[in-house]
Amino acid sequence: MKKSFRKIVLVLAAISFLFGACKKEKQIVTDDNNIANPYETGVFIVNEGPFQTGTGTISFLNRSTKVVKQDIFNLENNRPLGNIAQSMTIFNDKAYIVVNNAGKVEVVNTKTFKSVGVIDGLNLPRFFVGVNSTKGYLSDWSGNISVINLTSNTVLSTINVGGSPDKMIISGGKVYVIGSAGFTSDSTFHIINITNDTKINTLIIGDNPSDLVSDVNNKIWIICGGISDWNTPSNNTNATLVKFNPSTDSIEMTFDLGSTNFGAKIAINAAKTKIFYTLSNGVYEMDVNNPVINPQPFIGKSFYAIGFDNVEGYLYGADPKDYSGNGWVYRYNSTNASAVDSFKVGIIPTGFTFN
Amino acid sequence: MRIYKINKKILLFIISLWTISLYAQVTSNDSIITLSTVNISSERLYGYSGGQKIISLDTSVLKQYTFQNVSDLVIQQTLANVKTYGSSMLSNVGIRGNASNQTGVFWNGININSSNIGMTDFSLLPVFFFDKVEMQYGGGSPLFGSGSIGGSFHFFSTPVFNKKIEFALSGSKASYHDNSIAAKIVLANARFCGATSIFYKDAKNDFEYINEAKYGKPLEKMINAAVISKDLLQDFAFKINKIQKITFSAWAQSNYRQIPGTMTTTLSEAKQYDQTIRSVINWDRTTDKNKFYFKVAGIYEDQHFIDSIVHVNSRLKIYNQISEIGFSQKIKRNIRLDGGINNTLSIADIQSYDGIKKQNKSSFFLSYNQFFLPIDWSAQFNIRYELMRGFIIPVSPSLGFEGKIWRFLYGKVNISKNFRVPTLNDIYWQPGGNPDLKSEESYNQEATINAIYSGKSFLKEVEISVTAYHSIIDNCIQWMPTENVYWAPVNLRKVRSEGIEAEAKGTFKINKIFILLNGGYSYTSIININQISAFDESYNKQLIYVPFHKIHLNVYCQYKNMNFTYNHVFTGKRYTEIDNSKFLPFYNISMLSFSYSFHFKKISIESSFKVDNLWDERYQIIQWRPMPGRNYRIGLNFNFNSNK
Repeated sequence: MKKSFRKIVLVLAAISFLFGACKKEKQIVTDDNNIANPYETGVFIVNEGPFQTGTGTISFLNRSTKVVKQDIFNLENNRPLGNIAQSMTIFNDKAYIVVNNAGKVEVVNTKTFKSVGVIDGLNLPRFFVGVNSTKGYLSDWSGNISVINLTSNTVLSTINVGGSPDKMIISGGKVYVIGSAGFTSDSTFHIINITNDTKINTLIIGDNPSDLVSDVNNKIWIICGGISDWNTPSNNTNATLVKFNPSTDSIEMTFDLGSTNFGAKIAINAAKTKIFYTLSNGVYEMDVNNPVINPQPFIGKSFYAIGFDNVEGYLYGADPKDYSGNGWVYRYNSTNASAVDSFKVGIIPTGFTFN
Repeated sequence: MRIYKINKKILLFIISLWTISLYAQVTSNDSIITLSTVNISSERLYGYSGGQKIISLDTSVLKQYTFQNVSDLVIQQTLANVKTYGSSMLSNVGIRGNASNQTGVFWNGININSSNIGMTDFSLLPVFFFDKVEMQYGGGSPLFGSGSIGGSFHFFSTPVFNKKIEFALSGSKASYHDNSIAAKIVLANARFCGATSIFYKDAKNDFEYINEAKYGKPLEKMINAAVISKDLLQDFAFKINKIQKITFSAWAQSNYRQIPGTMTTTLSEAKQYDQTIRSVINWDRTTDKNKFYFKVAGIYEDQHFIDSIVHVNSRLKIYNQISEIGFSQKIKRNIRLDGGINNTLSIADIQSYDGIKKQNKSSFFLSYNQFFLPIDWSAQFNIRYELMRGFIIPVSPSLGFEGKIWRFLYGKVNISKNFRVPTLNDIYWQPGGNPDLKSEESYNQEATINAIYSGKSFLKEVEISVTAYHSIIDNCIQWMPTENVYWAPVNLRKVRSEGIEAEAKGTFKINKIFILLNGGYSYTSIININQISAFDESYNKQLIYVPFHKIHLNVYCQYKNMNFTYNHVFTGKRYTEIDNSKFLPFYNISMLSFSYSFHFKKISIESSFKVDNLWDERYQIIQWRPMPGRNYRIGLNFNFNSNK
C-alpha cells in the first residue's frame, strides 16, 4: 500500500518536473547595428500603437536608402515605448517622445536613439516644446503646462490653464497653446510668458482647435476642427482656419472651411509661405500672403496627420488604414501634388519629426 | 415548523426581488411566456446536440474552485480560450478560436449574455453557486439561438428532493489579501427544496511583478486592482404532484472592482460597479410520454464605470425578460419530438444610445430525435427560426448522428448552420450604430470518435475522444473607422476555424487509492479568409490571442480522507498583432492542491491547501497585463448534513 502510494507521488513529481523544466526565459531579439549614429538624419514617424494595452512605436525612414526601420525605440533600448505614443520633438540633439497613456516622456539621443532619461509621473502628456537650453514646456490634459528642467528631467512647476492644453508653438518670447477637445469641446488659446512661466491670457479662437504653425511673417495659423455632436447634429459647426498675430495677440482673419473635420491638421512648407491643412475629403493648400480658400483639394485623399519635409520638399501624409494593422505613409511633391511613393509604418501613425 | 418560518422570510425576500423585475418590465406587454424545467437546457444538450462534443464538470471538480470564479475553472479544466485581463479582472471566453460574443452562456437554461455586448464576463460568476457546468463545443444555434457559434456554456444550480437539512460554511484566505466566505443552507423534503447560498470575496490583488516594459525592469506592486464581490443565490423547488413541479431561482450580485493600468500605462484610477439580479421561474409537467414546460426569467444589469483621469463616467442599465414555452413528446418508442417558442425582450438605458432602446426577439424551435435500434445509432434534426423587427435572421438547422461503430468505438457527426444577431451596441451606439447590419452566419461540421473501455481491476475506466471540426463564419461584425472619424460596425470578415480536440479520461484504483486522470489537447487554426483591401495584412493570418495549442492535464488522487490534485495547463504562443508580426510566448501554469477531511457523524470538516502557478511562471495572457506569480490559498469547510 505504502509502496504504491510512493510510486504515484514519484510519477506525479516526474510529470510536474517535465512540464516545469520546460523553459524560463523569454528574450526580445535585438538587431545589431554597426553604424554608430544610424538615426542622424532621416524622418521619424510616431505611431500611437493599438488601443487598449498596446504600445506605441517610432518608425524611421532613411531618405537615401528609402528603407523604413520599425519600432526603433524597442530596437535600441530593449523595452517598449509605452501605451499611446503622442508626439516627438527634437530639441538640443535630444528627442522628447511623449507617451500619453503611460504618463511619461522618453528622452533619447537623436543619433543613436538610446535612452538618456525619462520624465515620468505625468498625467496625460501631449506635446513638448523646448524653451531654452535648460527649460521645456509639456502640455498635459490634466489642464496644466508642466515646466520641465531639462538637466534633471523633472517637473519644476506647473502652469494651470484649464481644459485640455495640447499643441504649442513658441513665438516672440511667448508660448501659444491650443486648448483641444480633450474631454469636452474647447475653443481656447492660451498665451504663456516664458520668462516667469505664467499665463498671460486665454482667448477664444474657434471650435476645437487641433493644430497650429507659424509662417514667414511670424503669423500663427490655427486650424479648428469644429464641433461634431453625434447626439445633436444641430450643434455641429464647421472647421475654421484662424490667422493670429502674436505681436498684438489678436485674431486677424477667420476662414470658414465649409465642413467639420474633427482633429484637422496643418503643415507649412520650408519657405513658410504655403500652408497645407486637412479636411475630410483631402489636403488643401493656401498661400499665406494671398489667403484665399481653395475650393478644390490639393490632394484628394485625407490623412490622420500631415507633415512637411524641408530637406526634400515633400508633403507627408499618414494613413492608419484600419487602425488595427500597420499604417502607411504617403509622400507627395509639394509643388504639383504628384505622388512620390509610400511606406509601411507602425500602427496608427500620428505625426512626423524631420531631422 | 420553525423551518417553515425561516423559509417564509426568505420567500418574502425573493418575492421582493421578483417584484423589482416585474416593476422593470412594465414597458413590455407583448411577451409570450415560456417554460422549462431547471435542466431543460441540459436535456437539450444530451438529447439533441447529437453528434457534438460535450463535456460536463460535476461537483467533484467544482468543489476545488469553491472560492474562485468560473474563469479560473474554465482555464484549468477545458480547452476553451480564456482571455483574462488580470487576477479577478474581465475575462472573455471563446471556444474554438471564436470570440466571446460568439459563445452562448446559460444559467438554468436562460441566456445570460449581456444584450448590449452579447457576452458574459466569466470573472463575475462564482463557481460556488453551481452544481454542474457543461460545455458544448461547436455551433449550437439550432438549440440555443443567437450567439452560439463557437460553442456554449451551461451553468446549473439544481434542487434535490430528499429529506435533509444541510448547512455548509467555508472560509478561505489567500495570497494578496484575498478573503472569501461561502455559505449554503439547504432545507428539503420529498416535495420541497429550498437552498440559500451566499458568497463574499474581498481581494486586493496587490501582487508583485517585474515590469518588463520599464527601464531596468523594476519589481512593481499591482495597485488599483482590488475586488469586492457579494453574491446571493436563492433556489426553491416545489412538487405540486407526482408530475408537476415549480422551481424558482434568484441570483443577486454586487461587484466592485478597481481596474489597474497596464505595464505600459501610468497609474489607473478606473473602477467599475456591477449590480445584477437574475431570476427564473419554471413550471413543468413531466410524464414518461411527454413533458410541457413554461419559464419566465428577468435579468437586470446595472453597470457603472468611472475613470477620473480620462473623465469617463458612464452608466448603463439593461433589463432582459425571457419567456419560453415548450414540449417534449414521445411519438413512438424510438422517436421523440421537442419544440417551443422563446421570446426575449431587452430594454437598454445606455448613455451612448439615442434614448432608451427596446428590442424584441422571438424564436421558434423544433427537434426530432430517432433511435435506430438494429444498428445502435440515433439521428437528430433541429431547426430554429428567430424573428427580430428590421433584421433578417437566417433559419438555423442542424443534423447529427451518433452511435456505435465497433465494440468499444463510438462515432458522432454533426453539421449545423449557426448565427449571431447584432448586439444593441452594434445597432444603437452613437455615433456609428448600424441598423443595416446582417447577422453573422456560420457553417459548422464536425466528427468525433470515442473509445470507451471499462475494466475490472486496476484500470477502472478509460475514455478517449478525438474530434475534428471545420467551420466558416461569414459576415463577421467588426467595428471599423469610417470617413467621419468615428467607428462603425460592418459585416466585414469571413473567418475559417478548423482544428482537432483530443481528450482522455481514466480512472484507476490501486489498493485504496483512487486516481482520476484527465486531460486534453487542442489545435486551433482560425484565420481571416477574405482580404478587404490591398493593405489588409490580416488576410490568411491567425486571429490575435488565439493559441494554436492548448493542453490541460488534471491528476486527482484520493486516499481515505485525503485528496490530492495536480493541474497543468500549457498555452502556446498567441499573436498580438493582426499581421502576426508579434506574439506572446507560450506559458505553463500549474496548480497543486491538497485537502484533508474529518467526519464526526453528521458533521464533516475539511481543510485544504492550494498552490497556484506552482512553478512561478512569469506570463501575460493579454499583453502588458501582469499575472500573479506563485500564490497560496488555505480553506476550511464545515458541513452539517442531517442525512449522513
